[in-house]
Amino acid sequence: MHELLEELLGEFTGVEYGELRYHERKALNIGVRQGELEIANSTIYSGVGVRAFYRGGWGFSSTSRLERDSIRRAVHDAISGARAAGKKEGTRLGAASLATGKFAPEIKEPVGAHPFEEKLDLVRKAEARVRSFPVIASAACHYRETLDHKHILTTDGARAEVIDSKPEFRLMAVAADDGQRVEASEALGVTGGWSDLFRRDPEEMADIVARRAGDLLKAEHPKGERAVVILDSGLVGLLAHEAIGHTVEADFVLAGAITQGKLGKRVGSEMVTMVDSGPSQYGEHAAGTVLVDDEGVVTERTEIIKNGILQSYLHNRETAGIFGVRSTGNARAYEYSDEPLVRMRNTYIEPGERTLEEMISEVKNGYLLKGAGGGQADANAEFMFSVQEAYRIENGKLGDLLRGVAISGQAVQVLESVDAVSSEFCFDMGAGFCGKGQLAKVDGGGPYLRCNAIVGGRA
Amino acid sequence: MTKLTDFGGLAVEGAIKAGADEAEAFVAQGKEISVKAEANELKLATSHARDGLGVRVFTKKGLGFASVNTLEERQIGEAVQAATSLSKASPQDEHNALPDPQPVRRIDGLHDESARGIGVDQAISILEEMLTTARGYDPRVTIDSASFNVEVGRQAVVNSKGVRTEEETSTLSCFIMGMARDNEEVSSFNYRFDSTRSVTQMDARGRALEFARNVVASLGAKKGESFVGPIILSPDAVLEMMLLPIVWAISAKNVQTGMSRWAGMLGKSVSAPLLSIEDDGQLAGGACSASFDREGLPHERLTVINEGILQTYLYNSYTARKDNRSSTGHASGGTRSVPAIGPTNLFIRPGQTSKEDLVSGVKRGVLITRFSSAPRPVSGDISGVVKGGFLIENGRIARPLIETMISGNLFEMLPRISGLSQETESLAYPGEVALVSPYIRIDDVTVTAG
Repeated sequence: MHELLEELLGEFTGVEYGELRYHERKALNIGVRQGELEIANSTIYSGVGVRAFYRGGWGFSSTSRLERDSIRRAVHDAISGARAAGKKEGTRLGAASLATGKFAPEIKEPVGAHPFEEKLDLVRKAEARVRSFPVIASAACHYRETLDHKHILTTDGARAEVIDSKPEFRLMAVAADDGQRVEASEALGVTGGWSDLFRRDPEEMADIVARRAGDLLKAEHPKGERAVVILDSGLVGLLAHEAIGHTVEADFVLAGAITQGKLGKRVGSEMVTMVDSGPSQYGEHAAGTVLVDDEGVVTERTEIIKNGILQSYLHNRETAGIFGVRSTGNARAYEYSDEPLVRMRNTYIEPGERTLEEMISEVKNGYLLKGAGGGQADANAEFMFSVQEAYRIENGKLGDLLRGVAISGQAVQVLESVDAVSSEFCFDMGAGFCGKGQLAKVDGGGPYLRCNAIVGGRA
Repeated sequence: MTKLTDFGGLAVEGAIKAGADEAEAFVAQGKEISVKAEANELKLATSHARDGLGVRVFTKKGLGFASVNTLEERQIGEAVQAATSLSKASPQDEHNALPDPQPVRRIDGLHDESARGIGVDQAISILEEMLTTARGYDPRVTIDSASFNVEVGRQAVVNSKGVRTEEETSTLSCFIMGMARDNEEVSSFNYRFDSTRSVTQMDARGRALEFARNVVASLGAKKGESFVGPIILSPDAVLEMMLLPIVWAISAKNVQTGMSRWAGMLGKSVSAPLLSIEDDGQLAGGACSASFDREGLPHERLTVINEGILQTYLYNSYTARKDNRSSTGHASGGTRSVPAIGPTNLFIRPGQTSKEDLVSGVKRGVLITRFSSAPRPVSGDISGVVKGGFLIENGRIARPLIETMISGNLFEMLPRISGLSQETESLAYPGEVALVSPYIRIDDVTVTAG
């Protein structure tokens, strides 16, 4: 395939840049719900995505037919698309560290070495274990593995072969009583192999999720108020990704996001340093790990905020050209038929020096919040996240578990309110995907963070 | 042109030969033209040709499924082998069986031949008109992204029990998203979208104008107040706050597996009598209409909730067999996965009150035009932020709001619905959702200011 693509690069004429991306994906998906096997899916697909750039416009075309003529036709469709869309003078792509050679994450034990029967058995046992708790009305368990093989070639010199493996495992428990239902979930997701994923015991996770659902069913709802909150690593990851991360994606910046014109300015307390990194940091296997992006650029650790000051946006080659900087390697496409967009990778806040115990003991009135649910954020950095568990803190002491809530706020104000950061650190968003018209596997995390936010509750 | 059912037939025969007891193939093929703008400017023109085939097999009542993105004989053969081998390793489930064929009536208006004639240049001029309309409405409008798509495709289902059906469809869709920016002030994001089957139904310019009006109206928003009182949901907010928990609760799969709050509620009251919801997959020209579902069965027209009383759940053939009844034709999904359950075109029946009268009856409340939340469909718990909204005081819209949270439980809110407008709006997102809804007023909801 590499040789064929190399030869077809010569077809790009009359445009400023051309890119060929072969992407083969093999996926296995197993889902068991309430004892029933509902998903046993094997997916294999491959295709070539072709992009061309001309006067600020892009043409993109894709084909699943891998013979020379079909790919050549896609190249010519991409060229005509770019020439129809390109209407500006003086645009150029930004400089970048173009990748050459083979790139693969370190994988100790490939998921492919384990047969379907073993994976099915693991999923069925974990699901049955959740259901063995009397309070549990329903349970579900899913395993999914995604194995990628890419060749990325560009007319200006990238020649990369990229291998990737991203397995996931998730458990859900529903506790029910008197018509009421409450759910709880636990999930793992990594870049790596079997033993990298199952660094936690699935049966232990089953016990945790079942007990939590049972406890939440008995818990009261908190009342709505603005409060001091301590966020766990999952919520810090979500805050970094959703509330700040999206507003520093350079395409959003150009469209008028709140960070426009704020480089070099304060956007958080001195304790806040926030990073988006292609390579995994603080350990090997963060799920959003991308060694080479889908424009063939070698990724890096990009410091977005350093000690509260905004340092950098996240760029693809086009936005890098517009801002006059180098690409940060954030161009990502989910499938061969998706065009690369500015996307995050592993997004986190760096650890500090405090302990969680100290941080709790200093709070007169507030909440410890754990477990990220879904979340959304806006161009003005206003965000909303759902939280699985909330514990009341009164006079420095941790109180009862309260029912899951949503928190909201304006992310810059929240970061400015940060007054303590713990030394514990972990990635905790590995089973999640980010949606921006297409999916991307991302990760996020951080330490415990103490700040101010609005807690949504009931009167 | 080769029929897609021929490729499906090839897969089904191959699976039976490989030792499967039953086999089903879903085949799809499509051509798409799409143009996109980013940061107020035309950015991208794309064209794609897509093929896909998913094969589901049962061997000794064990399930296996595999899919490929090509219709090449060799790869179809590989998918058949993969699915069959998974099915042989899977546990036996007595409800695993494919449906028998049923007569399929062709739904009108799902294919517009003129959609095929729209090329990249015409698509670009439609998109440019969307941009100039939105930006021309007010210079403070800024467009983060906008797109216009045309897709012409065919879908087919073949199974070893005799189902063999195919149809051609066209889908046009537009999307515009962005905000208004007035010096340092940035409004909330907002967006409009639409999806139609025919070229003449598509009003991309109209959607762009609505988007521009909405973002400009949300400038100058200030913090709200905390109280317990009525909220009025626009059709967009109905989609974001109410739809997912309801669709989740009426899925027979969720009912049977203990994940639906409405298990055991057939014939019982789940809402105020003002609420009636219908699902019609047979609607001529409907964005989510089709002559057959993911299993090749016709969509049944259903009244899901009638005057507050739950009438039925949505079934595919697996869940129907488990409840000893027939499928309602709500098997959903594409070539990449086993059939799930999903709604088609949903209608919330309008009420007797005008939109103005819904507002004028409120002393202090919130009109929500856009709501952002991560709904928890199992519990029905809702906690989210009003992204587009207005404070209502003494029966009048007083001012736009920000940083206001709404919390509660949807299933507990439904009995407190106190009014539905006569006016309805239609929202459709290609392949995902089509909803016609009035404005809905719900009493005694907790509103928390920032």
